[in-house]
Amino acid sequence: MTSNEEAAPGSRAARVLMAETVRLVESQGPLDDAQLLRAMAASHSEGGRDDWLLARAWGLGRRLALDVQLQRWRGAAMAALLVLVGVVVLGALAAAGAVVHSGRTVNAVAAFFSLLGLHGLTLALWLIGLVAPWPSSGGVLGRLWLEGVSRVSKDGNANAASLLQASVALLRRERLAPWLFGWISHTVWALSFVVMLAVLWFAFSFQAYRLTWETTILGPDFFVRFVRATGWLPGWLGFPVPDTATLRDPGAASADQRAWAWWLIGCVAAYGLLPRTVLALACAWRWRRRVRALRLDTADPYYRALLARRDALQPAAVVVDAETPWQPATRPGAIPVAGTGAALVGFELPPEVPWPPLMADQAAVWSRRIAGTSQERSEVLDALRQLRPARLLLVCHAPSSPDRGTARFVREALESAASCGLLLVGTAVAAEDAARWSDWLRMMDLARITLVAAPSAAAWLEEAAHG
Amino acid sequence: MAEAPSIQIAVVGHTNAGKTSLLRTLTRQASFGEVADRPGTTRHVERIALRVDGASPVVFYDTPGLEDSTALLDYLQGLGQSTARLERVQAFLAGPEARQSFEQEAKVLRKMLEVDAALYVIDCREPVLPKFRCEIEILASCARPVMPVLNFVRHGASREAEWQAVLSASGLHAQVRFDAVAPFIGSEQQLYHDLATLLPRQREVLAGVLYYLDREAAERRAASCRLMAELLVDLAALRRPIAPEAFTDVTQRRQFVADVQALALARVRLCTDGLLQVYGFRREEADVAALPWLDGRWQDDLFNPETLKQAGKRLGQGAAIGASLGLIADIAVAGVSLGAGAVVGGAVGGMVTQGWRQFGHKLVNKIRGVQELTLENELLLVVATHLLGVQRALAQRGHAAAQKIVVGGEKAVASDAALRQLVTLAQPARSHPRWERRPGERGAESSQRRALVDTLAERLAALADAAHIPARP
Repeated sequence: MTSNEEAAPGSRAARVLMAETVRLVESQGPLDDAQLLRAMAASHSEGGRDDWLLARAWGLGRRLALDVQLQRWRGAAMAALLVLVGVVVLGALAAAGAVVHSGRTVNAVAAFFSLLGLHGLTLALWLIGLVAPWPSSGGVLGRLWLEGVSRVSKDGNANAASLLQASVALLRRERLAPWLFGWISHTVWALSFVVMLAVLWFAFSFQAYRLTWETTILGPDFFVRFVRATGWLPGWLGFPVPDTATLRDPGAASADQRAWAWWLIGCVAAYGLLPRTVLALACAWRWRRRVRALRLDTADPYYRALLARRDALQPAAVVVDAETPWQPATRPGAIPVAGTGAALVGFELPPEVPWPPLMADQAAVWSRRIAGTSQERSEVLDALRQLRPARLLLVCHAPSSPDRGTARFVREALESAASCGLLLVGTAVAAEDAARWSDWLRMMDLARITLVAAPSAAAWLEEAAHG
Repeated sequence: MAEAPSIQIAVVGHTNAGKTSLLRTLTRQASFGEVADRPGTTRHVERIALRVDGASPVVFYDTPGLEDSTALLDYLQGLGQSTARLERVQAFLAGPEARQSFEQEAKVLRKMLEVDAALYVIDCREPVLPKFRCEIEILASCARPVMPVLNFVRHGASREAEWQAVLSASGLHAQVRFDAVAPFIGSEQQLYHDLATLLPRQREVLAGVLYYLDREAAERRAASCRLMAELLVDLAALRRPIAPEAFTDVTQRRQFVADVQALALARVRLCTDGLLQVYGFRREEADVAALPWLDGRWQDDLFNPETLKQAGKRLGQGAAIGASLGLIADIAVAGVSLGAGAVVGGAVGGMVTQGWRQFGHKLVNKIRGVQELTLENELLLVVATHLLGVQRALAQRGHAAAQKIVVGGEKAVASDAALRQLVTLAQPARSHPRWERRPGERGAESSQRRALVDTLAERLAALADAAHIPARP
């Protein structure tokens, strides 16, 4: 159960850290990921959005040797932790040693403060930091540890700096810092209390001490009350507490030195070791839970932009039923003999288009408007076959798209008319509409039909009617 | 969701009705297929999947247009009156005409028989002609759930009501209004929601799709609002010192002002690029360049005195005193007396009279002599208005657009009061020059700045929400 287990390559925390580091690197310009994304797509290992983002970052991080850096960090973190433990244990040894090596008389109340004072102060600071809004909380020892890690692993690699920066930012943003640093500092403190207790126990076991209190301005009642109050918790845990007689006159021959020594040991255990151990466990639990719940902030513009790129890189569409072009065989020389008269046919026009569309000589022109049912089509085609007009003017709706159904009708109508024109109508005939229709005429092999402009349409028809 | 077999959906319709456009928008693939303003652009059946979290819960088939439905219905009816409609379709597909004159229609019908449901795309601008009634009849013969998708409903010539009546008469009651070019917010969700009523057995898969779409839309909006909030904080915090001798020299001062304006403009452009990326558009895409918000014209407009004057009115501050350069000399450094400040304001163009209250507390702390220029509140308002417009246009824009769209006027983006509140909220940044983050800056961000950005982003998100047009009126 060490922090390094969580930071193992491929672990969730390491992958999220890598993503945040790559993001920091990419804040100065995108990295070239084309090859990586192709490889990811080829291996079908993309998975969900988070997985894809993490996999991409891990791939880019590997290229920047960030994974090696992370490995080195694990070693450095371990080393920094050991150094920190060493320093604190030495401190604990010194503190406990100062108590038991100051001759055969121990000032018990002063010893209480020298053993627990610094611990109480740092604990209070940590607790304040936990509830205070400022973000850098997390214990002095925790920050020292991080500083140590960065120092030990420094090798002039700019990306290493990014890694450090990203981890600090991640710890702050996810409010992981208090728990990680709390875990480290509480564990180190708990260790130091174990050392202290061992020294105290050894000294009190095999050497005879006389525990006492000294004062210049306080009365003996203060010490009675102080020891009673501080001895309550250790007493509840089973440690003996000196009686009032001993407390009032610790120098007397009847004084219970054993209870005095146990009070001091009990206080160090109950107020030092116990809270630190409980807090270390609590922090470890919180840290592991938070790390497991780590998610990328996919509502962040950077990740959103990447996801949008991913969407654009989707596998290309597949043609499943390819085109097999087929054109009806065109009959050569199908132009019919020139007949007489003119015909005007409105085909598939919307109801609001006025009919007839032009001021032609109504009597001379055969005109019909159809919506395009199959029955209407055959009626008009039959009539045209009878009529054999010299000129046939088809009227179509300009904004509509011509289709093969229209082509079929036009082709059959062409068989009866010597010459055929197409007039486009609509609220406003746009240039692109005319272009679309003339393109279609060319594509459909209907080039015989001429596109007639609205102003000249009446004249075009009348030429046939009277000519 | 990954284990469930994909829902197969055919997208059918008349030629040039916008089938490929619809698929581009639904799959966010601007490069899918070929879209052109001519009939018969798509002549093969093409498969494209809707990707959701690495899986493909829905597979779409883009089909060629049904072009000759009148003749095809005649032909189908000629195949025998006594046989069932579905059998006639099968007989047609087995026959020779399926490879000849009705080759394209055969492709559509073959696909229709294989899929779970079909989206029938309708160009609402077209009158309901007999050929379309034939289409509906043929599609109904395939015995598959068909959901009409009314495209171009926003067009002036839309005959939506007519179409709805005809479709309902044919038993197609579940209809979706969907503009492939400028989809309504939420119409994509509506489409899958209605599809779920047609395909009750696939409801769970479609609910997954809906959840994914909602989350994506919300995250895209959150990301874009964060980008805009960042920019507003940067611009409000931006201040550049100018030496007293440069300040008194007209040419040097003009150059300085132009430099700061160019700097602000570059930031705005960067933010716009970010918005495009968040919504998956590339600036080079010609169709996007046609967006009214992005065509560069308004960027020239940013420091236009008239625009700024208008913005001043919207801020409720009356006409600006100065030349409205979008820049003001910070009153706190302009000198201890208001008289000196007024002179500077008149010279550089600014809002000395409105500004002194908010900067008053800094009067004491500033070193005298050095002038600092910051951006006017009017400019912040103009930028916020424009970017909200860009955001809204992008959020409502499909990936199919071929033509320019104009979604509402600039004023419609947000009320004056809301914009005023936004600008007021950004004011704390004015007293923190270090909150201006230069592009590519990686230093740790102060938590106060973060909090301000979050507040602004929340306000912007509320404005973005308010601007949404409901999918169904």
